[in-house]
Amino acid sequence: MATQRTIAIIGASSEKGRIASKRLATGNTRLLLADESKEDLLLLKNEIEAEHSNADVEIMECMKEAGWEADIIVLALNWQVEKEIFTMIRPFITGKTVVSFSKDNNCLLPYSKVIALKEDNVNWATEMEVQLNTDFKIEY
Amino acid sequence: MNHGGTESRSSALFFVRLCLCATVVQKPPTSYTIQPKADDQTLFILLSRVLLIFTHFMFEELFKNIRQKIEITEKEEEICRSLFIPKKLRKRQYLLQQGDVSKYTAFVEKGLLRSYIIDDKGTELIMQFAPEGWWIGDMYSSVTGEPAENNIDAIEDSELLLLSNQAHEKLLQEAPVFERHFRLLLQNSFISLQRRLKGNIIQTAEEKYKSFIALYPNISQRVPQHNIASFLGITPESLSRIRRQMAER
Repeated sequence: MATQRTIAIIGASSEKGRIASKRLATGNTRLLLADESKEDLLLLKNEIEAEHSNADVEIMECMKEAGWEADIIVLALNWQVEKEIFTMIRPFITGKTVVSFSKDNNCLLPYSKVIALKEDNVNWATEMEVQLNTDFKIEY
Repeated sequence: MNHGGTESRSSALFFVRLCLCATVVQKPPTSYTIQPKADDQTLFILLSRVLLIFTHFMFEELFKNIRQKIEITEKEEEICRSLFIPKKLRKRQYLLQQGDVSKYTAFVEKGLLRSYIIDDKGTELIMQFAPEGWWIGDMYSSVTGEPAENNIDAIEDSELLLLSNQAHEKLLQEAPVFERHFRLLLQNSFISLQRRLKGNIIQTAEEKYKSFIALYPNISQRVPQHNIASFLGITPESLSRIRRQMAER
């Protein structure tokens, strides 16, 4: 597919977020990094650009905007804010592919295509990459 | 100290920041002031309602457009909200590139898109502009599943509502009133296409420009002149001359 895909990593500064960001920065992808600390995101952006010179990475100041703009959303969050963020971004991610580590994602995101990953799976990043590179079709 | 309560308060405050996109607020959570009687649950419900109002505006132009043709109920509005994909596109970003299979038809809530083909010499030939309230897509590719012949990109930062081919079918099944809506859309589109064809055969360049202004009354200042010339099938110099002559009259 030639049309560039846009992926938002919400909670990009977390350990999972950093791994996911670096994995997904290659290819025909525009990466939107969103989290609380802009400083951490700037460091991550620099690291990604040092590793992949042609990476298209942008820091987003608002998670809602990141979800709205993206085609795919990776939720690399800690459990304390998970529910709130699900509630907030839900209207903006209808019909989009969402990667999540949460157990509640199916009921909280009823209109999204959810890829549920398990944190204890050591190969979660590879699994995520493979699934996202498959051409996802939302089945209604 | 109730550690669980602090966590809960902290996450609720984080939610406030998320909703308002208040990136200017950089103080630690303990320094926030909130009403002492407003518990976290109330705050959460309140902000959920704020979001609900916000999402109402996200579909405002679409529902206005639909209601110009058909009457829909609140339930049918809800079906739309569950099927349309909200999407933001930056200026010059592609919605569809030639050679890809089109998966979506887009409704423009805000902004401006264009659809164009590229000829053998690499020249862009504009097929359609889509400002607010217009639909845009590659119907040939959507219907046949063949690679698209058109490119679609954003002339301005845009807010779209995308309808996938599967979601379109589901919308028609769950809310048959939309059959009429899409039939009327197709009728109008066909009439517009016939007029454009007729214009290309018999109209002078000035008449074509006048038809363009009638079709797109608000975009001539938003679109580069060479794009308008491409849409009309004339050179930018001819367009410039026509505009000057019309201004002098």
